[in-house]
Amino acid sequence: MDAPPIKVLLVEDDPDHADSLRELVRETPHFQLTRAGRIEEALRQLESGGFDVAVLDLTLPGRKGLAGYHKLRMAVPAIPVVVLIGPDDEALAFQAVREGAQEYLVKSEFDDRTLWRVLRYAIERKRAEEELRQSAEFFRLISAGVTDLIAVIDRDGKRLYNSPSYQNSLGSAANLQGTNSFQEIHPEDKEKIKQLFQRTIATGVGQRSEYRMLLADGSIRHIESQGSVIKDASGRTSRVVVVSRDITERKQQMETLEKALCDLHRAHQELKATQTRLVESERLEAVSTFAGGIAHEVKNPLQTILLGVDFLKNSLTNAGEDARMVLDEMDNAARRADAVVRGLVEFTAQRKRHMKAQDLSVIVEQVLRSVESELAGQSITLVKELATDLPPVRLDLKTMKHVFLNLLTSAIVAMPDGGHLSVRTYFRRLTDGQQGSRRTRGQSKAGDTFVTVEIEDDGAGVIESKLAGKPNRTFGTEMIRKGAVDLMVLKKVVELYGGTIHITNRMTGGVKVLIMFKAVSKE
Amino acid sequence: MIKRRILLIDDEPGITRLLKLNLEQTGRYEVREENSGKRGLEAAREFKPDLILLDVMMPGMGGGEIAAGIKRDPDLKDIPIIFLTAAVKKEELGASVGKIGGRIYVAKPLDVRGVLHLIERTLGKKGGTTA
Repeated sequence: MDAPPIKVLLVEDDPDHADSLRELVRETPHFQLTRAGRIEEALRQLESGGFDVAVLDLTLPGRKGLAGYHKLRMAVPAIPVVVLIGPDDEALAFQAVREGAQEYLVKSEFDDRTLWRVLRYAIERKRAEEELRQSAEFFRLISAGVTDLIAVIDRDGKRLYNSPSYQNSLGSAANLQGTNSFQEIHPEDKEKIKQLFQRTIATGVGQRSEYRMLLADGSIRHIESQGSVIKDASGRTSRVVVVSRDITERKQQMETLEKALCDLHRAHQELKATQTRLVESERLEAVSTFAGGIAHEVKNPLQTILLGVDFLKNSLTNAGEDARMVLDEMDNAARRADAVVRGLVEFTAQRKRHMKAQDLSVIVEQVLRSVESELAGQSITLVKELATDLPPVRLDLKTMKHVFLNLLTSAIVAMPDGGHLSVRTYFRRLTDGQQGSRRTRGQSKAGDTFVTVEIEDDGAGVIESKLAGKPNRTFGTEMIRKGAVDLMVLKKVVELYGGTIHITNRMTGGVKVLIMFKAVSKE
Repeated sequence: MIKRRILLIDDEPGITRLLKLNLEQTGRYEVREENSGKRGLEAAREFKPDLILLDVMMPGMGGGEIAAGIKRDPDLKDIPIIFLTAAVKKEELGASVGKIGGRIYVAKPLDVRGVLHLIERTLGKKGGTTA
């Protein structure tokens, strides 16, 4: 017993009792006793510090009970308290202990050694209690501060503890104790989570999971949980600690973000498409302006040549057969060149071009309507097969109408005494092995779709051989067809807009024209 | 036979020269050519033609301006004008010859026979009204 003396404040109004106690400890160096006669004095002394323990007599006359103890406890909660009682006051002593007193002593029933042991024990117990209280307070502060949901559940899935953060979703943590921790899980997720819990119990390894909770108000929250286990002394899983997080907002944000990203992607695609269209239109504009400019420059010299040929024809009345033939050839050549130039001027006339997705069937239908009276007037039978499900093609509406009008007019002019005109539209998707066919000039690949307009007549005249592909008839003395706009110009215009044109002199007479465009791929 | 006077105004000398030759070849016309609008208007006052063939598109003073000048001049206002135009608009000029807003147009490239026919018709009509 080499420890320093215990500094005791004795709260005792009876001087005799105080003296007897002082007498008890007089012989030993283990106590340093101070007396306070009244509770108020005791509080003053305790508040100024320096005491290890308070010994409080509960048997004060007229004030029997815990009132003094309460006062003391309230004012100085950290001081260990041992109460003194009379032999018949044990109930009172138990009450005091229940309310935080560390120990009790029955007056005149202890010696100095017992006193020492009891006081020492009270001090240690108070310290342990204080540590426990502090650590509980510490834990309480932490658990109150975290937004994560912390739950401890037993092997049956019953809730043993829920952190205060549960307040926001499932209500008061205290009310949750003992309830089934699976009851709020969304019915569709419940079985999966139960199995996961069983696996955690069986393996002792915590699992991560994501599931939905269906709250009492009908709302759904998305939860992410990580389990871990607490094992008992035998190594068996006794409890499962589940730390969860409400990820509903995160999920919503992710969805919003994904949607925004999707929108951005779409906007980017649209921008790119618009840019492509602009470049396309600008290119057409530039090509047209260029061709138109050249055509205008060529027109006047051509006019001079034509006038010159006319003059010479009339002047050389006595010229030989050869000279006449030369003049005729020159005249033909100049008129041919003139037709090309006029066609060019016509197709490059100053106006805006609008590259748009168009339905070729609709365009062809409109053009056919504009030549209805000519067809009827010349008793031409029209066979029309226009597909109603054509994929769109990108082109300038006015230009293409002009192209078709020229082709149809050329066919109609070739049938002055009636005939058959067949106009068809259809589309075809290229499969492997068809790519790079000659008709599509190697710009196609498997999976591309081509829309075709087919114009077929059984009229008179042929298309000159350099424009018409195979099969070709051997030319007899048939007249060579001349359209209002030179066919070569039409061909170049179609090609300028990304299409191809394929002309055949039919074996049975008449001409077949195929115009093909690549369909716009839908995005 | 009195030759009718025709004034050609076109900025392209090759065209006026050869058109002049073609017209004179018929033996019925006396032709004067001018290659600018300003000179054309002066020539009209001086030469007093029976008919003017006038190019619409010319640098400087264009065909429209010259025609307006002629119409303003009391001595010239009755001279018929045939406009030569290269800006063919099929929908405006159904054939190679046509009338738009009271004006007579002939489309380039000029076809000599067509032009001659038009000149004769125009002069004949005029002669008919003034006789």
